[in-house]
Formats: sequence, C-alpha cells, structure tokens
Amino acid sequence: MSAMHYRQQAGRTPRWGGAGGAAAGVLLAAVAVVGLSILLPLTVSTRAAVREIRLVTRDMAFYLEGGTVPNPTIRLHAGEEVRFILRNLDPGIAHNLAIEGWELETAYLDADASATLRVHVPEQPGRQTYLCVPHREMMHGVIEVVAGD
Amino acid sequence: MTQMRNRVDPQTRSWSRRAWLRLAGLGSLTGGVALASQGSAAGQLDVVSASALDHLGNAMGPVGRVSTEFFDPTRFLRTWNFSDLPAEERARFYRETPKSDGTTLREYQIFAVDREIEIAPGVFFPAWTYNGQVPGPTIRATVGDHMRITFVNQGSHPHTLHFHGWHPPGMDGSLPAHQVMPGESFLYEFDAEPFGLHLYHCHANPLKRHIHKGLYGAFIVDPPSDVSRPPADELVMVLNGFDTNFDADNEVYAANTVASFYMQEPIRVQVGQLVRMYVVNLTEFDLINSLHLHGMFFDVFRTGTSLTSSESTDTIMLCQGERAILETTFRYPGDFMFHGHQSEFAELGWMGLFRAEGNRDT
Repeated sequence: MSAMHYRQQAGRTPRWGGAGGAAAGVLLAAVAVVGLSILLPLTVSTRAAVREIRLVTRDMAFYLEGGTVPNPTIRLHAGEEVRFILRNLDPGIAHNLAIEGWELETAYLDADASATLRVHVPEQPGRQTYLCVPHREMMHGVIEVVAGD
Repeated sequence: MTQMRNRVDPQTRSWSRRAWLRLAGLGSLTGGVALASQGSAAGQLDVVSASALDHLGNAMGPVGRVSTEFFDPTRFLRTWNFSDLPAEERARFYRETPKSDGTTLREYQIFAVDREIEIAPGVFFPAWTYNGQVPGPTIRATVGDHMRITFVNQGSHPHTLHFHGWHPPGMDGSLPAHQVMPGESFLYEFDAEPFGLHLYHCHANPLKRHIHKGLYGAFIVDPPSDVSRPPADELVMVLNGFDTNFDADNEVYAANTVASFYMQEPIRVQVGQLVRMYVVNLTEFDLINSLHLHGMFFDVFRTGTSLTSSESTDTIMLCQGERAILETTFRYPGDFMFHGHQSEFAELGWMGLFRAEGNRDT
C-alpha cells in the first residue's frame, strides 16, 4: 500500500457508522472467535508435526533427496505420522512407491511428477519393504519401525 | 527392405516420407517457439511454409535440440564400463578385481527397462533399453579377462543378453530356454575372447523387434597389453535406426541414436592425433549400412581381430552385426562430414561432423 492509498483512507467519511456498523462489528467478532476456536487446537497442538520424507527416483533406484545411497534404509518411529513425498527424476520411465505390507501405493509417476503417501506408522516395531512396483527387483529398500520416542 | 516395401508406389512413398519430415519439423519448431529462445514467433512460422520446407537444404537436419540430460551422444562416444559415472554410482553397475594370473575379473549389472527416449527433437520412441540407454552401455575388457554379467529383466517382455565372441552354449542367450522373464535374473559368465570389436544384443523372439527397439551395445575386447594398439582418441559409434510407426521400416537413422546430433555438436578431435573409431552396425530392417568420411582416408581393421589393417578407404559397408575399427589422423583443422552413404539414411539423421582443432599437421 502506498502513501497515497493511506491518505485516501484517512480522508474518507466513515461508512460503517451507527447501528448497522455495530451489528457488523459483532458479526465480525463472532466469526473471528469461531475461526480461532477451530484453528487454535491445530496451531498449538502438542503433537509433533507430520514428518516429511522426501524421496527421488533416478537411475533405477530410490534416493533420499540430496542423498547418494541407493535404496536407503528408512527409520520410522512406531505410532508417528509421516508423509513420503516421491519425485521421479528418471525421464521416460514411470516409477511409483509402494509399501505393500501396509497396502499403500502411489500412482505411477512421469518424469518430474510428484506424489504423496501419508503413513500412520503402526505401534509395533518391525520391518517393511518399500519398492517401485514395476521395477521391484532393483528398486526396493527397508523401512525399520523402531519403538516410539 | 521387405517385399511390402517394393510394392509401394515410389511416388506415394516419397510423399509419405516428406509428410513425416514436415510433421517432425513442425513439432520441433513448435518447441522452439514455446521456448522463445531466439527469433520472433512469426519468423519461425515463416520457415514452416511448405515451399520453404522443400528447400531447407542448408538446415542439414532437424530444427531444435534433443535433451541430453540422461543420454548425451557426445559423452557416449568416449564412455565404456560406466566410466562416466562418479565412483559411488559406478560401483552399482561395474566392478573390476585384478586376478593373480594378471587378468581381471569384470562384474557388470545390466538391466533391461522400457523407456521413452528422444531420437530427434520432439520425436519420442518407446524403446526397450539396456540400463536405460540406447545403445546400451559399452562393455570393454582385455582378452582373457573373466566376465561376470548379472542381467536383471525389469522390462515388460522376455529378454536376453547375447554376446558375440567365444562362450559356452549355455551362455548364448539365444534359445527360447535362455529367455529371462520380466522380474527374473541370469548370470552370464565367460572369458573375453577373441580380441576385437564385438557387440551384444537381445536374442528373444521376434528378434528383429527386440533389436530395433534398442536392445544392443558395443563389446570391445582389447588385445593383450604387450601388443596393445597405439594410444588414440577412441570413439564408439553404433549405427542404428528407428521404426517410429512400426511398419518394419526405419524413419530415423543415426550414429548413436540421436538423429543429426553430431551435425549440431560436432565431434571434437585434434589435428595430428590418432583417432580410433569403433563402428558397429545394428540397423534393423535395412540390409546394410555404411560410413563415409569426407576429405580423408582411414585404415580398416574388420572385426578388430587383427592388428594389421586390411584396407585404406573412405567408405565401408557393414551388414547388421558387422563391425570395424577405423583409424585415421586429421591432417587439416576444420569440419569434416561423415555419414551413411545411403543418402536416404544420411538425410534422415545418419550424418555428423568432426571438428578438427589445432594447426595443420605438416
């Protein structure tokens, strides 16, 4: 907003005066209270934010974004919420991400496309395999579920 | 060349070729306009007018560029045994271990995978590939080395690895029983011999489809170190073609897959330095292919199995699977064209340039 804009506002005759103005004010306050009551539990929740695990596929392997280890072992905590974000960096080859033990699977992705897999990790520790369905012999890795924090 | 081909009226045929070229040209021009890289859109569109296209003689190939993000024909020329990859990534696909008898154990991870590849600007081909590239990775050993090649089929059809060279019948990858089904693996083991320039390709049926879809590569076996070839700038060229409309005839030709690539990115060589070309013909559907180099001659070592050149020429003819090592030294700086001497192939992409740099060799 420019200085010019402020001057125009200041010079303008108030249009929301009188009884109509008061009613509008009450309505706005009510909307604000309702809105806050919905949003506050989310913003001040004591639960940890959903953890993001960013994976890319390239040269027929999964990598953590920026990582150099093919098909890395991924450690999750029992009971936590995580979000896998997969991006395909293999042009011309369609990949996906599946965790068959948990019956989870993304769509097949073209180059540079992304997909998200939201996972509520079970409470019991153990191991799962993550993989790319059409290239599972080369593109598979281990998910280790360890006891929660 | 099929009987079907002979029945087609030549006039009709040439027009369909032209129509196809026009389509490809339009595609790449549209791409150029979208990128708005150079020239006004109106200027680009002027070029598309039919009369202009018929006389685009100076363009010498397609307009626009192919992405080299995952396959760079310039890099392919001088890459073998995955030498272009950083050590950590290379170790996924290649390991060498010296043996006590002075030879080397060479272990490879080769996989088949379906991939859509760009063979001319904006022209994509649904290929079957070894390790995601066409031609497949160049495999190179010294005679007597032990080869251990793990093949994983991650493609959608049965495939094999069939090497040319000495090996036991069980390692031939050719009979129906040798087929490696999707999701399965096979370990090929043999000693690399004889020394020379060889090749490998898929031998699953129907063979012509499996080869033309892109399942082939060069296999170089060097002579023993005590008689090794003189040092040279070494270049691998696989002559290939692509049947983009599946009529058992090629619409696009190239050396190393990308039509006319080396016209736009000439192969840089040094005046006075020995240049050695490893040329393998894997063109399907056409009976022969050839290589002609302008302005100079080269020494020919057919199949590379002798260290003595059999002829000096400027044009060689190769049937499918035939190969030759060519050696020459550039005498003058400047650009030297090379291409298949079937003019049709040349104009459909099998044409390139050497750019010799340095002072005239006297």
